[in-house]
Amino acid sequence: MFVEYLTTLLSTVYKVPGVIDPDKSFTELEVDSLSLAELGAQLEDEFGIAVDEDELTGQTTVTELAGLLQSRGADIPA
Amino acid sequence: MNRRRQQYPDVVITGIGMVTPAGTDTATAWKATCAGLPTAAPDARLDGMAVDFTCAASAFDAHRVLGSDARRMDPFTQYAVAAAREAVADAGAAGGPWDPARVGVLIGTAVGGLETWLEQAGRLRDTGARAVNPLTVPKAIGNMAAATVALDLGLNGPALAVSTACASGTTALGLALDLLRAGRCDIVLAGGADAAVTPLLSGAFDRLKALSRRRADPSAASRPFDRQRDGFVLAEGAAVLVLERAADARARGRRPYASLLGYGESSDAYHLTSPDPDGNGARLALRRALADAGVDASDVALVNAHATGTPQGDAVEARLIHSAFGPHTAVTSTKGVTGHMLGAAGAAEAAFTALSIDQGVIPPTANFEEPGADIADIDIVHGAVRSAPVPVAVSNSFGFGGHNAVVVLGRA
Repeated sequence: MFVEYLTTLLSTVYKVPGVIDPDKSFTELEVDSLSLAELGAQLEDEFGIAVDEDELTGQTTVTELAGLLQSRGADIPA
Repeated sequence: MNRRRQQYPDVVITGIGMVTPAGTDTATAWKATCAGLPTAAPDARLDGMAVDFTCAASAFDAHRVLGSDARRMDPFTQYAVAAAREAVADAGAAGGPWDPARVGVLIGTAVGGLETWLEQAGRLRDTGARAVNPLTVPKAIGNMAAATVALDLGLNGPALAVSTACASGTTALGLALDLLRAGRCDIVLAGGADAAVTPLLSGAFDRLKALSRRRADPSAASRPFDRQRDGFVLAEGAAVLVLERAADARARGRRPYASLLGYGESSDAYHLTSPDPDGNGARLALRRALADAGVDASDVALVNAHATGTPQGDAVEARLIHSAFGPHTAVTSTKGVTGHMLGAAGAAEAAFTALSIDQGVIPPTANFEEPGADIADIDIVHGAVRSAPVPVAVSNSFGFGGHNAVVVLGRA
Protein backbone atom coordinates (compact mmCIF):
# COMPACT_ATOMS: atom_id res chain seq x y z
CA MET A 1 0.00 0.00 0.00
CA PHE A 2 2.95 2.31 0.61
CA VAL A 3 4.12 1.78 -2.96
CA GLU A 4 0.87 3.18 -4.26
CA TYR A 5 0.96 6.02 -1.72
CA LEU A 6 4.50 6.97 -2.76
CA THR A 7 3.93 6.74 -6.51
CA THR A 8 0.86 8.98 -6.19
CA LEU A 9 2.86 11.47 -4.11
CA LEU A 10 5.73 11.45 -6.60
CA SER A 11 3.37 12.03 -9.52
CA THR A 12 1.23 14.75 -8.00
CA VAL A 13 3.56 16.73 -5.78
CA TYR A 14 7.03 15.98 -7.13
CA LYS A 15 5.88 15.91 -10.73
CA VAL A 16 7.61 12.70 -11.77
CA PRO A 17 6.18 12.15 -15.26
CA GLY A 18 4.53 9.03 -16.64
CA VAL A 19 3.91 5.67 -14.99
CA ILE A 20 6.35 5.19 -12.12
CA ASP A 21 8.22 1.89 -11.94
CA PRO A 22 8.63 1.33 -8.17
CA ASP A 23 11.77 -0.71 -8.72
CA LYS A 24 13.59 2.28 -10.17
CA SER A 25 15.83 4.38 -7.95
CA PHE A 26 15.12 8.02 -7.27
CA THR A 27 18.09 8.95 -9.45
CA GLU A 28 16.59 6.93 -12.31
CA LEU A 29 13.28 8.70 -11.71
CA GLU A 30 15.17 12.03 -11.86
CA VAL A 31 14.14 13.10 -8.36
CA ASP A 32 16.85 15.59 -7.35
CA SER A 33 18.54 15.86 -3.97
CA LEU A 34 16.52 18.87 -2.84
CA SER A 35 13.32 16.97 -3.58
CA LEU A 36 14.65 13.91 -1.71
CA ALA A 37 15.40 16.05 1.35
CA GLU A 38 11.93 17.51 1.10
CA LEU A 39 10.34 14.06 0.65
CA GLY A 40 12.15 12.70 3.72
CA ALA A 41 10.98 15.66 5.82
CA GLN A 42 7.45 15.29 4.50
CA LEU A 43 7.30 11.58 5.37
CA GLU A 44 8.67 12.24 8.86
CA ASP A 45 5.98 14.86 9.42
CA GLU A 46 3.23 12.78 7.89
CA PHE A 47 3.92 9.54 9.76
CA GLY A 48 5.80 10.67 12.85
CA ILE A 49 8.73 8.37 12.08
CA ALA A 50 12.44 8.89 11.49
CA VAL A 51 13.91 8.53 7.99
CA ASP A 52 17.68 8.94 8.15
CA GLU A 53 19.65 10.55 5.36
CA ASP A 54 21.41 7.31 4.41
CA GLU A 55 18.06 5.50 4.22
CA LEU A 56 16.76 7.80 1.49
CA THR A 57 19.35 8.46 -1.21
CA GLY A 58 19.42 8.59 -4.98
CA GLN A 59 20.07 4.83 -5.00
CA THR A 60 16.96 4.02 -2.94
CA THR A 61 14.04 2.59 -4.90
CA VAL A 62 10.39 3.38 -4.29
CA THR A 63 9.80 -0.23 -3.20
CA GLU A 64 12.67 -0.01 -0.68
CA LEU A 65 11.31 3.23 0.76
CA ALA A 66 7.84 1.70 1.00
CA GLY A 67 9.34 -1.25 2.92
CA LEU A 68 11.08 1.15 5.27
CA LEU A 69 7.84 2.99 6.03
CA GLN A 70 6.14 -0.36 6.70
CA SER A 71 8.92 -1.53 9.02
CA ARG A 72 8.79 1.75 11.01
CA GLY A 73 5.10 1.18 11.70
CA ALA A 74 3.87 4.03 9.53
CA ASP A 75 0.12 4.15 9.17
CA ILE A 76 -1.61 5.69 6.17
CA PRO A 77 -4.46 7.86 7.41
CA ALA A 78 -7.87 6.67 6.28
CA MET B 1 3.71 69.18 -21.54
CA ASN B 2 7.11 70.24 -22.68
CA ARG B 3 9.56 67.33 -22.67
CA ARG B 4 13.02 68.74 -22.65
CA ARG B 5 14.98 65.60 -22.51
CA GLN B 6 15.29 63.03 -25.25
CA GLN B 7 18.72 61.49 -24.87
CA TYR B 8 17.25 58.21 -23.61
CA PRO B 9 14.86 55.88 -25.41
CA ASP B 10 11.29 56.12 -24.07
CA VAL B 11 10.21 53.31 -21.78
CA VAL B 12 6.61 52.19 -21.53
CA ILE B 13 4.42 49.99 -19.35
CA THR B 14 2.77 47.27 -21.43
CA GLY B 15 1.61 44.81 -18.78
CA ILE B 16 0.31 44.88 -15.22
CA GLY B 17 -0.25 42.08 -12.74
CA MET B 18 -1.16 42.23 -9.08
CA VAL B 19 -2.28 40.37 -6.00
CA THR B 20 -3.73 42.79 -3.46
CA PRO B 21 -6.26 42.92 -0.65
CA ALA B 22 -8.58 44.71 -3.11
CA GLY B 23 -8.41 41.88 -5.63
CA THR B 24 -6.08 39.13 -6.74
CA ASP B 25 -5.94 40.36 -10.32
CA THR B 26 -5.52 43.84 -11.77
CA ALA B 27 -9.07 44.34 -13.05
CA THR B 28 -10.66 43.39 -9.73
CA ALA B 29 -8.19 45.44 -7.68
CA TRP B 30 -8.60 48.52 -9.89
CA LYS B 31 -12.40 48.31 -9.76
CA ALA B 32 -12.43 48.08 -5.95
CA THR B 33 -9.85 50.87 -5.69
CA CYS B 34 -11.92 53.18 -7.91
CA ALA B 35 -14.99 52.31 -5.83
CA GLY B 36 -13.08 53.41 -2.73
CA LEU B 37 -13.99 50.28 -0.80
CA PRO B 38 -11.71 49.83 2.23
CA THR B 39 -10.44 46.29 2.71
CA ALA B 40 -9.27 46.42 6.34
CA ALA B 41 -10.92 43.73 8.49
CA PRO B 42 -10.19 41.50 11.47
CA ASP B 43 -7.50 38.92 10.66
CA ALA B 44 -7.50 35.57 12.45
CA ARG B 45 -3.71 35.38 12.04
CA LEU B 46 -3.46 38.21 14.60
CA ASP B 47 -5.97 36.90 17.15
CA GLY B 48 -5.10 38.22 20.59
CA MET B 49 -2.82 40.99 19.33
CA ALA B 50 -3.29 44.66 20.28
CA VAL B 51 -3.81 45.30 16.57
CA ASP B 52 -5.74 42.35 15.17
CA PHE B 53 -6.88 43.63 11.78
CA THR B 54 -5.15 43.93 8.40
CA CYS B 55 -5.79 44.35 4.72
CA ALA B 56 -5.35 40.71 3.73
CA ALA B 57 -4.98 39.17 0.28
CA SER B 58 -7.21 36.38 1.57
CA ALA B 59 -8.91 35.78 -1.78
CA PHE B 60 -5.60 34.49 -3.17
CA ASP B 61 -5.64 30.70 -3.57
CA ALA B 62 -2.01 29.67 -3.93
CA HIS B 63 -2.75 26.07 -4.79
CA ARG B 64 -5.24 26.99 -7.49
CA VAL B 65 -2.83 29.46 -9.12
CA LEU B 66 0.48 27.68 -8.60
CA GLY B 67 -0.41 24.03 -8.01
CA SER B 68 1.95 21.90 -5.95
CA ASP B 69 4.84 24.33 -6.65
CA ALA B 70 3.24 26.65 -4.08
CA ARG B 71 4.75 24.55 -1.27
CA ARG B 72 8.22 25.63 -2.34
CA MET B 73 7.42 29.35 -2.12
CA ASP B 74 6.94 31.67 0.81
CA PRO B 75 3.71 33.69 0.36
CA PHE B 76 5.66 36.78 -0.76
CA THR B 77 7.05 34.72 -3.64
CA GLN B 78 3.65 33.18 -4.40
CA TYR B 79 2.18 36.66 -4.80
CA ALA B 80 5.09 37.80 -6.97
CA VAL B 81 4.90 34.79 -9.29
CA ALA B 82 1.13 35.15 -9.69
CA ALA B 83 1.50 38.89 -10.41
CA ALA B 84 4.35 38.29 -12.88
CA ARG B 85 2.36 35.67 -14.79
CA GLU B 86 -0.60 38.06 -15.05
CA ALA B 87 1.64 40.94 -16.15
CA VAL B 88 3.34 38.90 -18.86
CA ALA B 89 0.01 37.60 -20.18
CA ASP B 90 -1.38 41.15 -20.10
CA ALA B 91 1.59 42.40 -22.11
CA GLY B 92 0.90 39.80 -24.76
CA ALA B 93 4.29 38.30 -24.03
CA ALA B 94 3.23 34.93 -22.59
CA GLY B 95 5.21 32.19 -24.23
CA GLY B 96 7.83 34.78 -25.09
CA PRO B 97 8.42 36.79 -28.26
CA TRP B 98 11.52 37.73 -26.29
CA ASP B 99 15.09 36.53 -26.05
CA PRO B 100 15.01 35.19 -22.47
CA ALA B 101 18.62 36.28 -21.93
CA ARG B 102 17.53 39.88 -22.47
CA VAL B 103 14.65 39.87 -19.94
CA GLY B 104 15.36 41.07 -16.41
CA VAL B 105 13.41 40.68 -13.18
CA LEU B 106 13.53 43.23 -10.36
CA ILE B 107 11.31 42.49 -7.38
CA GLY B 108 11.57 44.69 -4.32
CA THR B 109 10.71 43.43 -0.85
CA ALA B 110 10.90 45.10 2.52
CA VAL B 111 10.69 41.96 4.65
CA GLY B 112 11.15 38.82 2.50
CA GLY B 113 10.03 35.40 3.68
CA LEU B 114 9.12 36.19 7.26
CA GLU B 115 6.34 33.63 7.57
CA THR B 116 8.74 30.83 6.61
CA TRP B 117 11.42 31.99 9.05
CA LEU B 118 8.90 32.17 11.89
CA GLU B 119 7.33 28.80 11.11
CA GLN B 120 10.69 27.07 11.03
CA ALA B 121 11.98 28.90 14.11
CA GLY B 122 8.94 27.44 15.89
CA ARG B 123 9.78 23.92 14.69
CA LEU B 124 13.40 24.32 15.78
CA ARG B 125 12.36 25.50 19.23
CA ASP B 126 9.59 22.90 19.72
CA THR B 127 11.06 19.79 18.11
CA GLY B 128 14.71 20.41 17.28
CA ALA B 129 16.87 20.92 14.22
CA ARG B 130 15.70 17.70 12.60
CA ALA B 131 12.22 19.19 12.19
CA VAL B 132 13.47 22.18 10.21
CA ASN B 133 12.26 21.97 6.61
CA PRO B 134 15.07 21.56 4.06
CA LEU B 135 13.31 24.19 1.92
CA THR B 136 13.60 26.86 4.62
CA VAL B 137 16.43 28.86 3.08
CA PRO B 138 15.29 28.71 -0.56
CA LYS B 139 11.80 29.77 0.55
CA ALA B 140 12.65 32.51 2.98
CA ILE B 141 15.57 34.54 1.65
CA GLY B 142 14.65 37.90 0.22
CA ASN B 143 15.87 37.35 -3.35
CA MET B 144 13.57 34.39 -3.94
CA ALA B 145 10.62 36.33 -5.34
CA ALA B 146 12.86 37.63 -8.14
CA ALA B 147 14.66 34.31 -8.56
CA THR B 148 11.44 32.29 -8.66
CA VAL B 149 9.82 34.62 -11.20
CA ALA B 150 12.88 34.08 -13.41
CA LEU B 151 12.68 30.31 -12.87
CA ASP B 152 8.93 30.17 -13.44
CA LEU B 153 9.05 32.13 -16.70
CA GLY B 154 12.43 30.86 -17.93
CA LEU B 155 14.16 34.25 -17.94
CA ASN B 156 17.95 34.41 -18.06
CA GLY B 157 18.62 38.13 -17.64
CA PRO B 158 19.51 39.72 -14.30
CA ALA B 159 17.13 38.78 -11.45
CA LEU B 160 17.54 41.20 -8.59
CA ALA B 161 15.93 41.90 -5.25
CA VAL B 162 16.00 45.49 -4.08
CA SER B 163 15.23 46.47 -0.53
CA THR B 164 14.49 50.08 0.39
CA ALA B 165 11.78 49.26 2.94
CA CYS B 166 8.42 50.66 1.88
CA ALA B 167 9.96 52.32 -1.18
CA SER B 168 11.20 48.97 -2.58
CA GLY B 169 8.61 48.61 -5.34
CA THR B 170 9.28 52.11 -6.64
CA THR B 171 13.03 51.67 -6.44
CA ALA B 172 12.66 48.51 -8.54
CA LEU B 173 10.87 50.51 -11.24
CA GLY B 174 13.61 53.14 -11.23
CA LEU B 175 16.38 50.57 -11.57
CA ALA B 176 14.44 48.81 -14.32
CA LEU B 177 14.28 52.11 -16.19
CA ASP B 178 18.07 52.33 -15.97
CA LEU B 179 18.51 48.77 -17.32
CA LEU B 180 16.26 49.53 -20.30
CA ARG B 181 17.76 52.93 -21.07
CA ALA B 182 21.25 51.47 -20.91
CA GLY B 183 20.26 48.72 -23.32
CA ARG B 184 21.19 45.99 -20.85
CA CYS B 185 17.73 44.42 -21.08
CA ASP B 186 14.93 44.47 -23.66
CA ILE B 187 12.14 43.78 -21.18
CA VAL B 188 12.13 44.08 -17.41
CA LEU B 189 9.51 42.69 -15.07
CA ALA B 190 9.66 45.11 -12.16
CA GLY B 191 7.66 45.36 -8.98
CA GLY B 192 7.46 44.49 -5.33
CA ALA B 193 6.14 41.81 -3.00
CA ASP B 194 5.60 41.43 0.73
CA ALA B 195 3.64 38.99 2.87
CA ALA B 196 4.50 39.96 6.41
CA VAL B 197 1.15 39.67 8.16
CA THR B 198 2.40 37.90 11.27
CA PRO B 199 1.98 38.57 14.98
CA LEU B 200 5.68 39.48 15.13
CA LEU B 201 5.55 42.21 12.52
CA SER B 202 2.20 43.57 13.67
CA GLY B 203 3.45 43.67 17.24
CA ALA B 204 6.74 45.26 16.20
CA PHE B 205 5.10 47.99 14.11
CA ASP B 206 2.65 48.60 16.93
CA ARG B 207 5.54 49.04 19.37
CA LEU B 208 6.74 51.81 17.04
CA LYS B 209 3.23 53.31 17.24
CA ALA B 210 3.05 53.08 13.45
CA LEU B 211 -0.24 51.15 13.19
CA SER B 212 -3.82 52.30 13.47
CA ARG B 213 -5.45 50.94 16.62
CA ARG B 214 -9.01 51.46 15.45
CA ARG B 215 -10.08 47.97 16.51
CA ALA B 216 -13.70 48.94 16.94
CA ASP B 217 -14.01 49.96 13.29
CA PRO B 218 -11.26 48.43 11.16
CA SER B 219 -12.78 49.37 7.81
CA ALA B 220 -12.35 53.05 8.75
CA ALA B 221 -8.79 52.56 10.03
CA SER B 222 -6.79 53.31 6.86
CA ARG B 223 -7.57 57.03 6.35
CA PRO B 224 -4.70 58.93 4.68
CA PHE B 225 -4.59 62.69 5.30
CA ASP B 226 -7.75 62.56 7.43
CA ARG B 227 -8.10 64.47 10.70
CA GLN B 228 -8.73 61.22 12.59
CA ARG B 229 -5.92 59.17 11.07
CA ASP B 230 -3.92 57.25 13.66
CA GLY B 231 -1.50 55.02 11.76
CA PHE B 232 -1.33 52.62 8.82
CA VAL B 233 -2.97 49.24 8.31
CA LEU B 234 -0.63 46.36 7.55
CA ALA B 235 -1.33 44.78 4.17
CA GLU B 236 0.21 42.19 1.85
CA GLY B 237 0.48 41.56 -1.86
CA ALA B 238 2.57 42.02 -4.97
CA ALA B 239 2.51 44.03 -8.15
CA VAL B 240 4.61 43.49 -11.27
CA LEU B 241 4.84 45.74 -14.33
CA VAL B 242 6.19 44.80 -17.75
CA LEU B 243 8.51 47.56 -18.95
CA GLU B 244 10.05 47.80 -22.38
CA ARG B 245 11.33 50.44 -24.78
CA ALA B 246 8.54 52.23 -26.63
CA ALA B 247 9.97 51.31 -30.02
CA ASP B 248 9.91 47.60 -29.13
CA ALA B 249 6.30 47.80 -27.91
CA ARG B 250 5.31 49.57 -31.14
CA ALA B 251 7.13 47.01 -33.25
CA ARG B 252 5.10 44.21 -31.73
CA GLY B 253 1.87 46.18 -31.94
CA ARG B 254 1.24 46.72 -28.23
CA ARG B 255 -0.52 49.79 -26.94
CA PRO B 256 1.08 50.79 -23.62
CA TYR B 257 -0.83 51.92 -20.53
CA ALA B 258 1.62 54.75 -19.94
CA SER B 259 5.23 55.84 -20.26
CA LEU B 260 7.66 55.64 -17.38
CA LEU B 261 9.14 59.09 -17.93
CA GLY B 262 11.53 59.43 -15.05
CA TYR B 263 12.78 58.41 -11.64
CA GLY B 264 14.39 60.17 -8.72
CA GLU B 265 15.75 58.92 -5.42
CA SER B 266 17.49 60.19 -2.34
CA SER B 267 18.24 59.36 1.28
CA ASP B 268 17.15 61.57 4.18
CA ALA B 269 20.22 60.75 6.30
CA TYR B 270 18.09 62.10 9.13
CA HIS B 271 16.58 59.38 11.35
CA LEU B 272 16.12 55.62 11.60
CA THR B 273 12.35 55.71 11.14
CA SER B 274 11.01 59.30 11.10
CA PRO B 275 10.88 61.32 7.89
CA ASP B 276 12.82 64.57 7.80
CA PRO B 277 10.12 67.01 9.03
CA ASP B 278 11.18 69.55 6.39
CA GLY B 279 10.84 66.92 3.67
CA ASN B 280 14.24 67.79 2.24
CA GLY B 281 15.12 64.27 1.12
CA ALA B 282 11.70 63.68 -0.41
CA ARG B 283 11.87 67.05 -2.19
CA LEU B 284 15.26 66.13 -3.64
CA ALA B 285 13.92 62.82 -4.96
CA LEU B 286 10.89 64.57 -6.47
CA ARG B 287 13.02 67.25 -8.16
CA ARG B 288 15.32 64.60 -9.57
CA ALA B 289 12.38 62.59 -10.89
CA LEU B 290 10.80 65.60 -12.62
CA ALA B 291 14.16 66.62 -14.09
CA ASP B 292 14.83 63.06 -15.25
CA ALA B 293 11.39 62.99 -16.90
CA GLY B 294 11.97 66.39 -18.47
CA VAL B 295 8.68 67.78 -17.19
CA ASP B 296 7.75 70.80 -15.09
CA ALA B 297 5.78 70.59 -11.86
CA SER B 298 3.00 72.46 -13.66
CA ASP B 299 2.63 69.52 -16.09
CA VAL B 300 1.71 67.13 -13.26
CA ALA B 301 -2.03 66.47 -12.99
CA LEU B 302 -2.00 63.74 -10.32
CA VAL B 303 0.09 62.70 -7.34
CA ASN B 304 -0.41 59.15 -6.05
CA ALA B 305 0.85 59.89 -2.56
CA HIS B 306 2.78 57.54 -0.31
CA ALA B 307 0.42 58.73 2.50
CA THR B 308 -0.04 55.69 4.72
CA GLY B 309 -2.24 57.32 7.35
CA THR B 310 0.44 57.99 9.97
CA PRO B 311 0.09 61.37 11.68
CA GLN B 312 3.61 62.56 10.94
CA GLY B 313 4.31 61.07 7.51
CA ASP B 314 1.12 62.35 5.87
CA ALA B 315 1.67 65.88 7.20
CA VAL B 316 5.24 66.03 5.85
CA GLU B 317 4.14 64.72 2.46
CA ALA B 318 1.19 67.13 2.21
CA ARG B 319 3.55 70.07 2.82
CA LEU B 320 5.89 68.74 0.14
CA ILE B 321 3.06 68.33 -2.39
CA HIS B 322 1.69 71.80 -1.61
CA SER B 323 5.09 73.44 -1.99
CA ALA B 324 5.93 71.59 -5.21
CA PHE B 325 2.55 71.61 -6.97
CA GLY B 326 0.33 74.13 -5.17
CA PRO B 327 -3.26 73.50 -4.06
CA HIS B 328 -4.84 72.46 -7.37
CA THR B 329 -3.03 69.26 -8.41
CA ALA B 330 -5.14 66.17 -7.71
CA VAL B 331 -3.79 63.96 -4.93
CA THR B 332 -4.93 60.47 -4.01
CA SER B 333 -3.76 57.77 -1.66
CA THR B 334 -4.96 54.36 -2.70
CA LYS B 335 -3.81 53.01 0.68
CA GLY B 336 -7.23 53.98 2.04
CA VAL B 337 -8.44 50.94 0.13
CA THR B 338 -5.45 48.61 0.11
CA GLY B 339 -3.70 49.42 3.38
CA HIS B 340 0.08 49.44 3.29
CA MET B 341 1.58 46.58 1.27
CA LEU B 342 5.12 47.59 2.33
CA GLY B 343 7.57 46.67 -0.46
CA ALA B 344 4.70 46.03 -2.88
CA ALA B 345 3.04 49.39 -2.26
CA GLY B 346 5.08 51.49 -4.68
CA ALA B 347 4.66 49.03 -7.54
CA ALA B 348 0.89 48.70 -7.01
CA GLU B 349 0.55 52.49 -6.78
CA ALA B 350 2.58 53.04 -9.96
CA ALA B 351 0.28 50.51 -11.64
CA PHE B 352 -2.82 52.36 -10.39
CA THR B 353 -1.24 55.61 -11.62
CA ALA B 354 -0.67 54.10 -15.06
CA LEU B 355 -4.34 53.06 -15.13
CA SER B 356 -5.38 56.60 -14.14
CA ILE B 357 -3.38 57.95 -17.08
CA ASP B 358 -4.78 55.32 -19.46
CA GLN B 359 -8.42 55.71 -18.43
CA GLY B 360 -8.62 59.34 -17.26
CA VAL B 361 -10.02 58.44 -13.86
CA ILE B 362 -8.58 59.07 -10.40
CA PRO B 363 -9.57 56.74 -7.55
CA PRO B 364 -10.70 58.39 -4.32
CA THR B 365 -8.80 58.37 -1.03
CA ALA B 366 -11.02 55.98 0.91
CA ASN B 367 -12.08 57.05 4.40
CA PHE B 368 -10.87 60.62 3.89
CA GLU B 369 -13.52 62.96 5.29
CA GLU B 370 -11.82 66.07 6.61
CA PRO B 371 -8.16 67.08 6.45
CA GLY B 372 -6.12 67.17 9.63
CA ALA B 373 -5.22 70.67 10.85
CA ASP B 374 -1.62 69.80 10.04
CA ILE B 375 -2.39 68.84 6.41
CA ALA B 376 -1.38 71.56 3.94
CA ASP B 377 -3.88 72.84 1.40
CA ILE B 378 -3.90 70.19 -1.34
CA ASP B 379 -6.67 68.78 -3.56
CA ILE B 380 -7.35 65.35 -2.06
CA VAL B 381 -9.63 63.31 -4.30
CA HIS B 382 -12.23 61.68 -2.05
CA GLY B 383 -15.82 60.51 -1.92
CA ALA B 384 -16.00 59.15 -5.46
CA VAL B 385 -13.82 58.46 -8.45
CA ARG B 386 -12.97 61.63 -10.41
CA SER B 387 -12.87 61.77 -14.20
CA ALA B 388 -10.02 63.97 -15.37
CA PRO B 389 -7.36 63.83 -18.07
CA VAL B 390 -4.02 62.79 -16.56
CA PRO B 391 -1.21 63.56 -19.03
CA VAL B 392 1.52 63.37 -16.37
CA ALA B 393 1.47 61.91 -12.85
CA VAL B 394 3.83 61.28 -9.99
CA SER B 395 3.90 58.35 -7.55
CA ASN B 396 5.79 58.81 -4.27
CA SER B 397 7.24 56.16 -1.98
CA PHE B 398 9.15 56.64 1.25
CA GLY B 399 10.68 54.00 3.49
CA PHE B 400 12.10 53.46 6.97
CA GLY B 401 15.74 54.37 6.83
CA GLY B 402 14.97 57.58 4.95
CA HIS B 403 14.64 56.07 1.46
CA ASN B 404 12.80 58.35 -0.97
CA ALA B 405 11.78 57.12 -4.43
CA VAL B 406 9.58 58.92 -6.95
CA VAL B 407 8.47 57.87 -10.43
CA VAL B 408 6.97 60.12 -13.09
CA LEU B 409 4.52 58.54 -15.53
CA GLY B 410 2.90 60.07 -18.57
CA ARG B 411 0.66 59.33 -21.49
CA ALA B 412 2.36 56.99 -23.93
